[in-house]
Amino acid sequence: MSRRNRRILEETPDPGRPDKDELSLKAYGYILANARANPLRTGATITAVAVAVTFLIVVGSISVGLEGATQRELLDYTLGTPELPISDFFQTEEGDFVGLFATTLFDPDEVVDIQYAARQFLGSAEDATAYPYSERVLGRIPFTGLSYHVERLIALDPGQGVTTPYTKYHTYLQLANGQHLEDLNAGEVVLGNQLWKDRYPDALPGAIIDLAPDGETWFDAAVEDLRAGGDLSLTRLPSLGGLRLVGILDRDLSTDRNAYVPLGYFADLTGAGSTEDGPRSEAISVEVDAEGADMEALTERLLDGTDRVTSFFLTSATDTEGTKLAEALSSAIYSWLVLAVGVILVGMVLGIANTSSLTVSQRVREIGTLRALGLSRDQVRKLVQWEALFIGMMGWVIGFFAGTILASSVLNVLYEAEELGLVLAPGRIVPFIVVGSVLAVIVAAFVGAEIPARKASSMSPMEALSAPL
Amino acid sequence: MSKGVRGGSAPRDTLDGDDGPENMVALRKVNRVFEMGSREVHALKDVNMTLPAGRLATIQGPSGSGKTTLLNLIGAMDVPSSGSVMVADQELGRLTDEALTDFRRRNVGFVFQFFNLIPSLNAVENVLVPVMFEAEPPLDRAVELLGKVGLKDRWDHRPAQLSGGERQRLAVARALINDPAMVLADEPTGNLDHQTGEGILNLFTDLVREGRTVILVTHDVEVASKGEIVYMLRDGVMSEQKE
Repeated sequence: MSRRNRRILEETPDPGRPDKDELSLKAYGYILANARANPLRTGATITAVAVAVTFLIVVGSISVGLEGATQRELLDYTLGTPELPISDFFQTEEGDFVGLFATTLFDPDEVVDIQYAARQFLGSAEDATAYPYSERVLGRIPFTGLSYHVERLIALDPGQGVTTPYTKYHTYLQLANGQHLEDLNAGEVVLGNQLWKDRYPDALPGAIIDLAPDGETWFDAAVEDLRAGGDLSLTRLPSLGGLRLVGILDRDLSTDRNAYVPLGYFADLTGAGSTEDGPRSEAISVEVDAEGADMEALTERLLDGTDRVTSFFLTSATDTEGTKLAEALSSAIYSWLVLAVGVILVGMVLGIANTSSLTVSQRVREIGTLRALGLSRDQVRKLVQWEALFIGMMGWVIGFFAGTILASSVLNVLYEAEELGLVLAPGRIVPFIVVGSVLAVIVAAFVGAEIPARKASSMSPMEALSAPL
Repeated sequence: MSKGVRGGSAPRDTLDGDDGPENMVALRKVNRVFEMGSREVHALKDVNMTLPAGRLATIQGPSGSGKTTLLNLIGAMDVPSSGSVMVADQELGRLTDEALTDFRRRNVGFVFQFFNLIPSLNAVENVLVPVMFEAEPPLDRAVELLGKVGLKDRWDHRPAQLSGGERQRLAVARALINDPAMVLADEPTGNLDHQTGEGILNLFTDLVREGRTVILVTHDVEVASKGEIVYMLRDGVMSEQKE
């Protein structure tokens, strides 16, 4: 060691050892340091990716919400087809069901017979229970875990009894776990069975009707009070005109509660409870609690024993205008989603490509130095790719939180805005959108960094070192 | 005893303590021609050069004489258009790009005129740049090297916080992180004042004492005179060799 260097060392106070945890010793440290060295560019790209991810999550969440609503509309129209009666089995989270529908009424003994046949088929007395038609099955939306329940009787006509008119959509959807999901729109009407048969026998869903054309008096009341044996308090309703007919309400014979029935679907079942011989049902559901039971075979077996059930398959009303509309809407939503995701992906790729290109072109001499110092082409390539990935993932983290909050807000606003007629699920994190957005960022980072990384790795160290400072 | 070298295409784990080759560099009829559009530029013409291991050599010549081209060939950053470049008994012209990279990493330390340090990293991180992809970068050795070049107390300083001389000393420490048998320096004092340049040259002398081979490229006659062997290059032709 030279005298000068020895002197420098002797005069140098020891500042302590560097802590390796605080240093950028490895490749990722180098990448972080470089990203920090260009805060404006790095920040701009992170922001751009964050905006893209936010948009992706918002668009995805709304699309999923719209899709769910559209599917429900589609289902309502499907159920509303006049091709019924039908028979099919439903698979739900609570178990499997067979729904049997007859052209004339089932009587209570027949319900017991069908239950017996099902138990005999399954070989167990515990595995099958038959019900007259009930909200448990008939109000359920397959695939979604949602079910209809009647919550409250809003109004009644004292002259006709409690089974007549209902001035609001009395139902709400409830998730299988009991979580409240959706209130339905004001200004719509669900008619009681008797009133529908007497006054609006030909009314279709969506028809605008006037419940009190002759100056009849209608009241608001709470049915639970009545059921509980308490006093029925009535509130006079000033007007019941211009209501949209969305369904009818009838009595669920199994629970003696009111059940919402989409209009049209049960148009020929509404005699339930009104026969001279007592309560009757035109539909029976058989709940099966046997895992792996052959439901199709059971359905066949029950159908064989019930001559009056005329139809076997759920027939989709593909020829109805509503179905076509719902399908077109569903298809449009998917197209919009794919287009939006495509545009966002391309934007992210271009943003990251631009940043990576700038990084590489500004660091030509540095890359030449790295190559001269012994870093391989592959290692230089990785540095560029990892930097792009780091920036992308930083953007994703910010975008994820921003997108989740924004999507939740937007969905909740739309959910509240009944006048828009949109029926959306409240904001929630949809796993496939989260996973999809991560994958989108990773793909965008690697695709965007591909050309700059290739350019960096293909540089001759000699030529790169001779680049201008 | 000269510092041992490590192979390019078939590297060995460690060769410290090996005697190493008798001649670190042996060039025979080396030509390097660059195509500049339709024009051919003969940067080196039939260059012959033999440099024993463990010596301090300087290559002196005016700007554009081919000094850096020659250094690039010796440093495995380039291959000759014709002729033989033997470094540490390895014929570099026959190595693949990957093997040349490996050879550089294991056997050659580079020091540049403009230091070429990474501005966003501090001193000790800069020293560790060549080994950043290793599972456990040798922090102890980096600290030791910083002490060796007199920058032990400046390990946490970034290049912008160091003087020109300190930057070049840092670059020397970086060149040594892989314990190379040969250090190549391209105008290492070209950007420094006289006194600071002297300090850097002393550092290179220290390296030779450790058994390393050092080749300095310079246009400065005074700097060139520090070499045990001085090669003169004029218009791509090795015109003179003085010991």
